[in-house]
Amino acid sequence: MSLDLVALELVLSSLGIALGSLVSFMMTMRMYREWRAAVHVQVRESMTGALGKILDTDRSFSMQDRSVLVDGEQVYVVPKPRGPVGDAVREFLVDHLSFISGDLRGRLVTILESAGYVAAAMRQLRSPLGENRLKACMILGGMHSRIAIPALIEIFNDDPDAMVRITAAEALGVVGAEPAVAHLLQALRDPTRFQQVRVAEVLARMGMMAVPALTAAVDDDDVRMSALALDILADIGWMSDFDPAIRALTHASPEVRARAAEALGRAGAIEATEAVMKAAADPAWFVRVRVMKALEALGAPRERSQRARYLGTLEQGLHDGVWWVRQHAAEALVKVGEDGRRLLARAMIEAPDSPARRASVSALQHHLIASAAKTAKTAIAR
Amino acid sequence: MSMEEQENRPRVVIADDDPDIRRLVEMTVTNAGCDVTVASDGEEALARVRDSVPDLVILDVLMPRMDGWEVARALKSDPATREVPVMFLTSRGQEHDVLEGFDSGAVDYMVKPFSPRELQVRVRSVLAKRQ
Repeated sequence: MSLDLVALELVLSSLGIALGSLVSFMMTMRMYREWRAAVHVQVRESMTGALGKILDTDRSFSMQDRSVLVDGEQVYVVPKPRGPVGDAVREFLVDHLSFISGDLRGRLVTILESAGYVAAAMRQLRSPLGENRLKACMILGGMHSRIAIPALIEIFNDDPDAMVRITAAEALGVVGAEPAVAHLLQALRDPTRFQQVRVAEVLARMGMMAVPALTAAVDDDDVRMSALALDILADIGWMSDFDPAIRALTHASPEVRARAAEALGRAGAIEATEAVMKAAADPAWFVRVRVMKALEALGAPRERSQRARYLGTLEQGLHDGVWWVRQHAAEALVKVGEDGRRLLARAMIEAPDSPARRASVSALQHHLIASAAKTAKTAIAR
Repeated sequence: MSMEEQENRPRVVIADDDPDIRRLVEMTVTNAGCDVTVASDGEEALARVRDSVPDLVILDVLMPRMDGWEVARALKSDPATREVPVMFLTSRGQEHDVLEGFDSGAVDYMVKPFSPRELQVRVRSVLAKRQ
């Protein structure tokens, strides 16, 4: 046999071994996946059986180590939080936590805490791998456990990885961690270290629990902070303590004034209507635009003299030098009703070639088209 | 439970395409003392209601084949099922969704995530009114 043939035989046999190893590896992986899926199904079935008793409002619930007791009777022993079985248990409980609210949710959280699932995820927060820490933050958020709040705050403040920090913030938002609000607000001061928009989103999602700290931040010396706090308050749609936002209508920064008007409008703060009307004389056109939008959102006051001032403010806006202000003033007047539309009609007749006429025509046209469409829709539905 | 008690249990049809949520709602409503039939899509829900004319129907909105609103409208337009109260249990919680739900003839509307305890109270309240 020549040397070439020997070499060829060697290459072919190596290829055969490599192919055989690959096939056997793929088969093992497939078997592992199938086994994992079977474990998942088994765990879900056994847990579903127990869940009916756990969530029965008429029965008492407690935990003893990993045993779930309903009316003192053991209905389930929660597996340890490791391996595919532990993963399946955790996923099942976290899935169900996302469906339910109210006090019964606490029973599922207690199971995760007592059986060591929260502690296991918290240990992962110390992993040297950023990927593991990020996953642990997501898991802890899904578990809704308040035990994890200090650890998540620590990660949010100190983790070297920006993605991990923001995931910790999101987890804190999901858990609804009031102690985290101050840390999240502090993070807004450092836009180079945090993704400001996402931190703001987390605060907005936290809703009412973030409102006291945000209203305090409206008075902050940092203009950017005041403006951001107003934006977030507008997203939340807070219901009380409008004073800081009303004060902000006269802030030195037009950015803050504009956001204050917008926030008050979006919050529907009718007690701020008088202050918003005064802000219609603001020297910055983009503030006046937001003032008109806010007045539209707040609606016309019922009290006669205040209503007259409201209409007067909008009429003044109709003659503003900036078309955008005129447009919003006209739209707000349409919404007022008959007396608002009468003012628009007057502007059309008395000032035939003025910019106010164009804004009035456009707003009235839109109103007529919308009314006609509504009438047609009702007729078709009949 | 005696046979008579079993027969007197209010009958409820639940429709949701998510098996986990369906099971959770089924358990909650069963714990409230009802006899539950489940459906995994709108068409199946309609068939189940027409078969058994239950005391209450709990519908998700986003379901395959027929959505919850269509099911509710179909039930309300059929004299045989017009009187069956319909309740929505859905993740769609915007104001216009709620209005659309009531517009389609619903007597109650709940948004997910839901409180099982609250669901039980609402189910009992609707059933009490029907009785």
